[in-house]
Amino acid sequence: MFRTNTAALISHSLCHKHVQIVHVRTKKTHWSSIKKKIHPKDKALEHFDDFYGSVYGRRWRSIRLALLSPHKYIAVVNNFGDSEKVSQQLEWLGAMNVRTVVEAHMLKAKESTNEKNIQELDKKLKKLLLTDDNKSDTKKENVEYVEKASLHESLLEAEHDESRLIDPEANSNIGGLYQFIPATELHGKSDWIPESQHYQYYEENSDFPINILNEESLLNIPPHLQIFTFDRGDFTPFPHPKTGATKVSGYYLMDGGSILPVLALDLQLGDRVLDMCSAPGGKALATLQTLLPESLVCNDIQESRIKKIHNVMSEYISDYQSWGSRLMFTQMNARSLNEPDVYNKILVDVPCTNDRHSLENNENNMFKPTRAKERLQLPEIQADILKSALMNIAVGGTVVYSTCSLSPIQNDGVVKMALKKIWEETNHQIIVKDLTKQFRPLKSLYSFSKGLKFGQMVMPFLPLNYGPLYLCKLVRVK
Amino acid sequence: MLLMRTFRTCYLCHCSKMITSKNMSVAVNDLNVVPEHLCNLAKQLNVKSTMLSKVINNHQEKLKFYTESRWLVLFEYLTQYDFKTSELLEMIDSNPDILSINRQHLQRCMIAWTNFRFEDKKLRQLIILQPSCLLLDDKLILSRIPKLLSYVGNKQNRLLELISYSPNILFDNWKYIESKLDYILLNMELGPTQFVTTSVLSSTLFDLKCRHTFLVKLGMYKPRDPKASPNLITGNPSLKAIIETSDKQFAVKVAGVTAEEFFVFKKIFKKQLDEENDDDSDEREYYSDDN
Repeated sequence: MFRTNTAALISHSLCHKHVQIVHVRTKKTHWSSIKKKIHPKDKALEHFDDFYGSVYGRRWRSIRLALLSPHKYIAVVNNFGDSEKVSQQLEWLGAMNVRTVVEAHMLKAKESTNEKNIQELDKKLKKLLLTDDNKSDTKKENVEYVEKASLHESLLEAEHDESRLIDPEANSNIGGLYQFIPATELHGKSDWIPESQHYQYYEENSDFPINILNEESLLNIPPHLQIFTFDRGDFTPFPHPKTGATKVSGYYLMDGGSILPVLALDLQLGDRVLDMCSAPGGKALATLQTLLPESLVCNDIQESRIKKIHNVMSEYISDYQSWGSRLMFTQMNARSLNEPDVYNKILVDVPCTNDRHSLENNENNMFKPTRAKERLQLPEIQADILKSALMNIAVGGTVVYSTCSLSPIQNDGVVKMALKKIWEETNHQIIVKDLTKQFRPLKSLYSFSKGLKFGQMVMPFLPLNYGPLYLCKLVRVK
Repeated sequence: MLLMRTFRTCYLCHCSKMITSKNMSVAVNDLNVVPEHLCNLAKQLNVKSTMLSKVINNHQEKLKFYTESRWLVLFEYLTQYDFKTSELLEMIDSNPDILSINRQHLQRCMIAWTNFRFEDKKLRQLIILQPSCLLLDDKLILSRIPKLLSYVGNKQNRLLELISYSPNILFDNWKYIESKLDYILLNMELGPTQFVTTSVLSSTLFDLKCRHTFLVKLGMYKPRDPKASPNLITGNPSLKAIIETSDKQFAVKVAGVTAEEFFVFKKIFKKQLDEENDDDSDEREYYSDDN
């Protein structure tokens, strides 16, 4: 009797779509324990609040808002598909070509400088007429490149500075002696040190010569590179790219900031390019879309990551397997790379805390408690990778260092560390190129940070929600 | 047939004209001179004739539909509840529609209100401040007040204060109000003492959610620590500052960012909510069905 009844009930409920799934409540799935659980995302946010709050002050709030909101993409049109048709479609969607924006900006800047020149000439004429002083302003605004000696050379001429010797017997300043010793091991609660204290180790003044020169050449977007994005405050999503006649996708979507390192490389015909930490392959693909490099080598440390690059390439280039030396894949540790003078353009997009990703996803998150050690070692690894790039670059070649982190330690700090190591260990002469002037035409598309020492940073800002992305251009001159 | 209809409309027009001419509003043309029948009415109602003419002058359009008897009934009945005549005039001035209530309805309504044993003086203050309370159906009052009381910790004075700030809670869709109250209590973690003195319940749920989420994402609105003492003052901006400001004021003064950021956020947030609502259509029932 009982059986038949339940059967009837089940069939009844099924046909009326009233099937209720009763979750088995265990300790782990209970709502209170779920609510209590601290995810890597939350840890990341707490960490950023503490660290960036002290670095960026009031501006951090606005950055935080942008990081926690959906970000904007740019579309890089695939030249190995139906590029013209796709560009047309993107324009119909209301997206704008970055090239036209840049050109318009340059034209405007040119006009205003012309006017300025005329005004300045007028002023000079007036001065000449009014006063008979013929003081010529021969001082040049630009600092000329001066060769600076490497550590070994300068050591030969160096004298001891007696005043700086510390007497080990004196107890007064003993704490200072241990302050700069890096930790070799991690114990238990070491993760609990707030990083704002850690930030104190990042010093402003440097004790070795660094050459910083303004980049004089104008921003050059390679003629075949078509990049599309939407206007300020416009959050229209790009539709999923369709596959064209050659069975490859029409465009590649990536964070707006990620295209800048490729532009900063200033690719020329016949360049030999190395992408040191290539996966997932977005920047490598954008490099290929310029159709300029003679060869591109994509390197990464793990096989799974190499696979990712293969996946991206196969989605966008149908015959990339047969390209031979034009596109190669290697799997090695970027820190121990030893192929000097082979490449003249190296892209160093190092592993970093990946701020936006860390706040959005719990998977593959740097702020997992088990990865604390890895995270704290990051600056060291980054500096090593950059150093290895600077060691291997050909004379006259360009290295672009980039991260997607807001941390000044991982950005300017790492560049400084790497430059210091190069100065100490080799005779290479490296200059830092200041891209402020070159990136000025992009001002309407990105919100750049001010006051960085070496590089440029794209700040997340809600109406222009790209980044964070830091990049620094380094050129070897000797 | 057509003739009949035209005749009827003409006749109706004529009648209505007759009625309006009988009423006082038409007569008031000059401010300084108070017409005689108004003086009479003022005497009957025991108010100053100048005050009366002023009120009538303010709402000529609406008041011309109500006859003298309506005034008398309203004044006679409500003075039983210790309303002063000047206060009653004030009420009519702020909401002339209360003259449309007939005696029976008025009686039922006042019984419903007094049924909850509010403090007499405070109830009177509320009704003077929000005369629309008298326009409500007595059944609605009887069913709504207990529900609301449970949300303000069964404190009657608090409820009266809440109603004085947002009287719409008495007649809006209950599910919608409940969702707002739940959001304030559970998501914003505010107690009744904090929300009864604001007009938060007369704003939309979307505005509330949008501004709250905005502050949370800026890191300015932090959830309360469950272990901390409940009396501890949080550094969060007050509900009054959040809800009783214009978009621009809110963005610049309360949140401390540019107005552009807030406008963009609002756009994105709206899109997100719409997408969520598309996913589960149950959510829509909040806004559609009544009570």
